[in-house]
Amino acid sequence: MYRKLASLVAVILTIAVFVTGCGSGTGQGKEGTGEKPTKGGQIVYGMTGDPVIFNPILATDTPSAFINERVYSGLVRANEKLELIPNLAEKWEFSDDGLVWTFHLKKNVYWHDGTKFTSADVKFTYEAIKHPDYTGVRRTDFKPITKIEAPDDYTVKLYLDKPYAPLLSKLTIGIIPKHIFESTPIAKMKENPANMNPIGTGPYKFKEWQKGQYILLEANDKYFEEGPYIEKVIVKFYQDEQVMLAALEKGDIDYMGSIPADEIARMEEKYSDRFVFKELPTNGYDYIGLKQTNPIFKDKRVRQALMYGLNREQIVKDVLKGYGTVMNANIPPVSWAYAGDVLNQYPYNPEKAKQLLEEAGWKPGPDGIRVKDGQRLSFKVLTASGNKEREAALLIAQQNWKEIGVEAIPEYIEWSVLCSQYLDVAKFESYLLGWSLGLDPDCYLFFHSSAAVDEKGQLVGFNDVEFKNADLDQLLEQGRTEMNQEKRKEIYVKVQKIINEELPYVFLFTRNRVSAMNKKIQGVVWSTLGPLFPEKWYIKQ
Amino acid sequence: MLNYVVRRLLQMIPLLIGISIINFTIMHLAPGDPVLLLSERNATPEELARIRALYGLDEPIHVQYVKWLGHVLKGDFGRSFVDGRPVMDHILERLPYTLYLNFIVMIIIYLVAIPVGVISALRQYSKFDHAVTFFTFLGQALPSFWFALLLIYAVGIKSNWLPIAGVATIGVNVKTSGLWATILDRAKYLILPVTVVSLGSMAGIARYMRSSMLEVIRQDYVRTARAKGLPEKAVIIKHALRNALLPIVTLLGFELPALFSGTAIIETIFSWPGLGLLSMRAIFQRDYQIVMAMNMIGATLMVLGNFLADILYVIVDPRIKYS
Repeated sequence: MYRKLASLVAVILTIAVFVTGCGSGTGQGKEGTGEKPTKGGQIVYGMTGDPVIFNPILATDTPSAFINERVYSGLVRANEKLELIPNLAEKWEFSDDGLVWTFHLKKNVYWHDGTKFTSADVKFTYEAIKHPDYTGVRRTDFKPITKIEAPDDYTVKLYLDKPYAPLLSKLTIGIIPKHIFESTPIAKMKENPANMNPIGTGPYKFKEWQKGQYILLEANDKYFEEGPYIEKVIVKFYQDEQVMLAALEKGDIDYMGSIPADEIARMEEKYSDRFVFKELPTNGYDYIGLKQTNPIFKDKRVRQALMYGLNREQIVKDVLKGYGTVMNANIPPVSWAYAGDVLNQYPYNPEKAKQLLEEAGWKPGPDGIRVKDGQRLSFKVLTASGNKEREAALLIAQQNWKEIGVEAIPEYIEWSVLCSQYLDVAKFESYLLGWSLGLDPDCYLFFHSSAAVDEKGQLVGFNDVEFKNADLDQLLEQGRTEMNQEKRKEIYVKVQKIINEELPYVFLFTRNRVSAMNKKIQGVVWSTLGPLFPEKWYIKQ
Repeated sequence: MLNYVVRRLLQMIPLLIGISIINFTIMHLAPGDPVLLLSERNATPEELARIRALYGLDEPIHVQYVKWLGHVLKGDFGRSFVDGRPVMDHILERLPYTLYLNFIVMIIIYLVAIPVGVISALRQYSKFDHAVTFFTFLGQALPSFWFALLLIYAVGIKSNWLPIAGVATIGVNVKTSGLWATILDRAKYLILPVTVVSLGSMAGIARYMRSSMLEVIRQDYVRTARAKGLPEKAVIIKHALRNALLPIVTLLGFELPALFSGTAIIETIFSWPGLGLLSMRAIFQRDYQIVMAMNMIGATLMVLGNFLADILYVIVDPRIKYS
């Protein structure tokens, strides 16, 4: 019943992992400044919410992921182009059939308590996730792995039952120390006190947690890569966005990840001497899902008419205050697999929309709403109550579509009821919601016919609109087994072309967020998704 | 009297058991399953069943209840589903902050509201009374979150020394900064939340006190006291006030659970790490063990508070006798 919610948490986590990804390698931030980074100083982050558990394989919330990404390291991590680069693993290779993945680990890595990091820790972590008593949300990610081997201290071999390219992006997950967790049965892993006082391999050591107030991290002098330069990291927790904004204005915090859209202009005008403001596209999109089996939406021309008949540019301008981009398919511009201009852009064209509806046999009825075989072109659009942006977007859609003779009836439903009684049982005419996506462009679970409803009427994946297309199924399967990123990109461009033409959804927009960072922090690598590699940042002298 | 106290205490036991059964049932009937919230998107029914068994949620609800009750009687409220830590740890690390804030708020409320109520009753329809009436209505009408944000923007951002959120400056404690600096630091963090919380409740109690006092000073025994030639001070304090306090004492009984319950809105805005946010979050996450513990502590305090108010009656009003 709550699968959608749980899944959202899981995908959001994937992003958080990326956004806050800590790192090695590129050293881009220092270029051009001619300055030498110096050690010392502190950075204060503001975050909303409270972290739950500092164990990367059990955590599902963004604040915990933020801390875990600084305290722990994974085998790989993502860079500013969303590519996966070495972290604990120095290099890796895939066997020709894609079934054996060999990782060579770095040799100079120590846990924060001084113990040496080895392949046994990797094996322990992945086996814990695969254990039947494991209580976290990562099991599916690791299902393709059948066996984990550690032939020597610095080699890990993963055996897969079939080639599965998206797995690499899952190996960003932090490795936990075997010597600390092995004494606790997996079923009781949550009760291990190390979850509250974590020992990792990352650039920062966990120092102090005042519950509901702040977390203090300190530089790990024995970090296995360059840095960290900033000595102290303080994460202050706020429960309200407006109050956090006030704290930013007052100078209590140095960084805020997302400034509320209607405050951005004022903040930029007032504080441009104190902060760097960065507009960053997010890895997700909003859409109106159309039930493909519904008699109205069965005809592709109707689905296309809904796209042409909707002024999506206006939605971005009015609802998002311009902080966003119109979407035409299911992969946002931040991804390396984004198709871009080769897709039909569906510019706002009410005349073309009317013409398509005429062709499909829908003629204007007495009240202006089109009719065909005695049926009115009228449907309900469900959305979660309380989200002002989505409510506003839905109102624009309602007006725009009315002009082409289509009646959309908005219904606002409480989130848990929307999930349990409509979405998770795949019973609706249409609904407006959003997806947050992971690092990999794999979208099998959203659009493959086997991810729709099974013979018992149960929703298997997230294909609740029940979109079925044999060509697409084949491409989605290929996308998972092809290991070469160039070839995968070609596959996913084809996927987007089909989705752009067939339209399981009316695609709306992807949001941009605006982050503020104190100007004293130097060496920040701004990726499309956030500031990266915090261990290489330093304070301007 | 002793007889009465013992009887009342014994009556609490079935009452609390009844409350716990109702709470337990309602919680399990409410939509939302902790196992589904905890487990992953594509979990198979078998995997879900296994996790359900790990948390003991596979058993019939009455069996779960009896087990829960058995543990609670031994003082064990179980562990949180979400982070695996003992429920008591969760409560004890937040309780001091809630008590600390509410205790100070309560003292301020009563210290201010009672004299204000009394004076405005004695000078009914004077300028002071009108001003008090105006401000008490304003205090009750202002939404607390709005008032709090207003204070943060109007006072907090502009002043350099008044913090807008949190409970203490990082690194300031008795060891490093000395006792007085620490007290001063903590006091600064109290100013805004205490102002917001006390203004709302103060209004109600001042109004209560005013109307109660107005009623009492028209009574025959007050006139008699005056007729006896007692000084006005004695009439008001000894004869009128003591009787007028009676309804306020009842309120005090209800304040006991309020002292322990956090105010989620205030905690949200001022980032105050109290119990209100803990119970709110536990409810959203269906963290049954924490929800039950919070409910039972609240219920126990409510029952005790009522009992205490009844006992206090005897002290304030010698006419009341229990047997």
